[in-house]
Amino acid sequence: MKFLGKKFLRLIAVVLAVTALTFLMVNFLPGDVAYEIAGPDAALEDVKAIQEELGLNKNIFLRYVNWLGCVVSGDLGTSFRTHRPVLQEILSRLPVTIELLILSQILALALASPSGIISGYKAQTGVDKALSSTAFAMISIPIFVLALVLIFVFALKLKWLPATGYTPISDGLWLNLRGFILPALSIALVEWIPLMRVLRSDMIATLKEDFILMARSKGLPVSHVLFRHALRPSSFTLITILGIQIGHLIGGALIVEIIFALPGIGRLFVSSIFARDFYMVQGCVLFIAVAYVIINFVVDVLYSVLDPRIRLEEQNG
Amino acid sequence: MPRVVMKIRGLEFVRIATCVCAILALILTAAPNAIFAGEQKYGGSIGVGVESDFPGFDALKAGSLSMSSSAAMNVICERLFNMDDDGNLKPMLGLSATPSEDRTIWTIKLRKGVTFHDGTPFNADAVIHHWKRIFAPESRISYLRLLRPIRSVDKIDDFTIRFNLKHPWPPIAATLSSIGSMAAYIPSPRAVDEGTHNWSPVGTGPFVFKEWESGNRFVVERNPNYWQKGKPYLDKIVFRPLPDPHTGFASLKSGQVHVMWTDRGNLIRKAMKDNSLVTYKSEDAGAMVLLLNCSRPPLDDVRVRRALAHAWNQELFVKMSAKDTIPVVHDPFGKTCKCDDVCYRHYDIKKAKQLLAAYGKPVEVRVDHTTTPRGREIAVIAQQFFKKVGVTVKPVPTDYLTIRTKIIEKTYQIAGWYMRSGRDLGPLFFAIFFSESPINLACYDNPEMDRLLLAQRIETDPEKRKSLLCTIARLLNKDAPIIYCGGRHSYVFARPEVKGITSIRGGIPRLSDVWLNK
Repeated sequence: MKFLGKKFLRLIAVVLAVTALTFLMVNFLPGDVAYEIAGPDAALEDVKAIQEELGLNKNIFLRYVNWLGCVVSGDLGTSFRTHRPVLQEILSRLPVTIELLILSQILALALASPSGIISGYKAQTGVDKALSSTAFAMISIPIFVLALVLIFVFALKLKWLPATGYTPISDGLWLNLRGFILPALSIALVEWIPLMRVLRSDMIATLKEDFILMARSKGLPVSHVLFRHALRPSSFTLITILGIQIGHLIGGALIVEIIFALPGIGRLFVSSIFARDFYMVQGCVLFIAVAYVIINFVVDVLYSVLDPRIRLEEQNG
Repeated sequence: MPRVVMKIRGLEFVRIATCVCAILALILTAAPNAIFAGEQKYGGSIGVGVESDFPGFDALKAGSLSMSSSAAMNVICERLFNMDDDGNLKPMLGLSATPSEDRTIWTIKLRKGVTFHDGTPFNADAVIHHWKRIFAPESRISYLRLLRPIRSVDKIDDFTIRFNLKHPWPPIAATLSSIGSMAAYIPSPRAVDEGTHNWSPVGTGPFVFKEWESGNRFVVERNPNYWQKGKPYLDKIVFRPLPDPHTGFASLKSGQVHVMWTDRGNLIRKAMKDNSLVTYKSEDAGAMVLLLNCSRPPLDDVRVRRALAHAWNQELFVKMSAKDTIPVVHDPFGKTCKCDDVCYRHYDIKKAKQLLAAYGKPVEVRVDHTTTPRGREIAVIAQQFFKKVGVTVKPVPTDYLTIRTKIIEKTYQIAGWYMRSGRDLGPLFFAIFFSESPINLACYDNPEMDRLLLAQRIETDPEKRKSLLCTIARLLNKDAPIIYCGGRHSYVFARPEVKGITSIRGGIPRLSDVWLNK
């Protein structure tokens, strides 16, 4: 309970700090949403009338406090631009972002885990050098280049997969997944590399431990030693990096969303910043901040699952 | 029957048969598709790639239509009239538009037997409801300024309305038929009053709104009760926002979408060479320009502005930036108004240097531009062009809203701007160049220009009006508050099975009559 209480307080502090900072920054940008609403043929007096109507000329601190008050009652406000509730817009984009996040991380782990284990086990051999060279080559390729190459090969030439667009699961699971393969792969082909490298490093260190020597001397098969004994203690940094990557993707993989025309949180967030739609910006920032803290919490819990010593320490207070 | 009569009738038959065969042969060889024009096929659905998601469809809440949302609006809601290439009104929801003798009252007869998609009858009350809302005190739509000459709209009977103007105003016809103006489209009054029209538009058009997943797809389905019997042909149209034009093109090539349009020169070139796609092109009015703030030094001196106009090589810019996909223009009228010599300031380094020497001081200017590839290109090209005459250019990269803010607040020096397309640019000219206009984007103040703008506003004789507009264009070139970067050509690309794209106006293809040849 104490642990949960501390986490909750940290959540509140992070949310307050991040949303206050964002509010200030967006308000200091030139122009505001009134200029967007006024349209291309607007005069200054039209803009001022809209600012008056929307309360945009009020004191920044008062506006922030008003917004906080609404948030506490569950109302994130209405977008000035789209006139839709902010919460509704975010929730409508959330499934796309979450699905992209999950699929890309599954693919990244699927690539990173075996290659990290093999690389760690066969450290300094030809296999390790080949995998490392591949990793360094791929990390130097920008995501958007990878995305365009994948589209060219799989959508244009082979016509196996769609180039763009999102199909909801309600229209068919396979159609839905088909639309995510290329975007998820674009992200995974870059994000598997840091996962693989940290797993490799931790594996090398763990394989030098006495208990591994014990396991080997008992005649256990290599796969058993690697997966049942070595992998678990080598996974802490992997999980930390995974948590950071997931947190980063929660804010939306903007470039991938634009290239593949996916209606995710990233596109919503950036277009709101450009339009100075500050209720939407605040809503997105709030959501991302909360998600980050929750993910950190899950990572902490996973540590205690992976390592019984941490669990016992926490139990003993 | 006498043999002579039979012979004459026989000859007559041969003559008639020969004529018929000749006509048939002419039709077959000259217009092979004409025979099959009536064989539109029903059924199927197309995907349309658009550049951005739609801001909404309510005249007051969404404010203005983007090019993307115009294409969608055009299949759901309808205007009172369409306009042909000669500037004549064609009936749609309106049957006729009759001006009074002094041309300050326009009586519009409305079509009977039409209902909105939600069952509300289309009649005078629906039109009045729409226009009263636009002119309501709480209305904040920016294009309201362009509609100021309309004093009121009254109902005469259930199918007759009257537009009362403050003075004769020729652009009224273009306003009622504008494909890109929200004011022209008549929405269901019930949907508007319920507040749902912005997100679930209801009109009288050939397609009914089905669903809208924000940022993903906007779906419309065939209206089975459409007043034009036999139309539409398609079952469904799905509009997909594709923010990246290159992957949008890939979607077109791979068949995910069937129609898309773009203004990116390199993509246009690529698509035009592609034999698997069909290119539709239209020449529009409007222009891409550099706005020069005439109230800010050194641009408040006409010699500096003229020098920059002479230093700007529009031909080279069109070649480099737009890959020759847009025309070089000396005025923004396109086909709508053909002017003779408008005293365009051609590329002339010597003259530019002479003007700057007469000015006598170093010239440094800021160019606000977006961080998009085109925005950066314009700034870099301006820098290179103006450097040749000794003018220092400081590019200021920023986002689009900041540029718009600076233009509205008149704190910019030079900024890129689009003079949008339209059948009649008179109202737009009045708004942006009249010295007392609250918009007056370039802070331009010339009593002669004011006189010309006031005169063109009320001139009803088409030839005289054309002459006034050309004189305005001449004066703009003389005083150089704007520099032309290029005109407007619109390109729409479609897969070969898509037929029936009959017109493109202002870059927006008419999708109502499209059918799939499968």
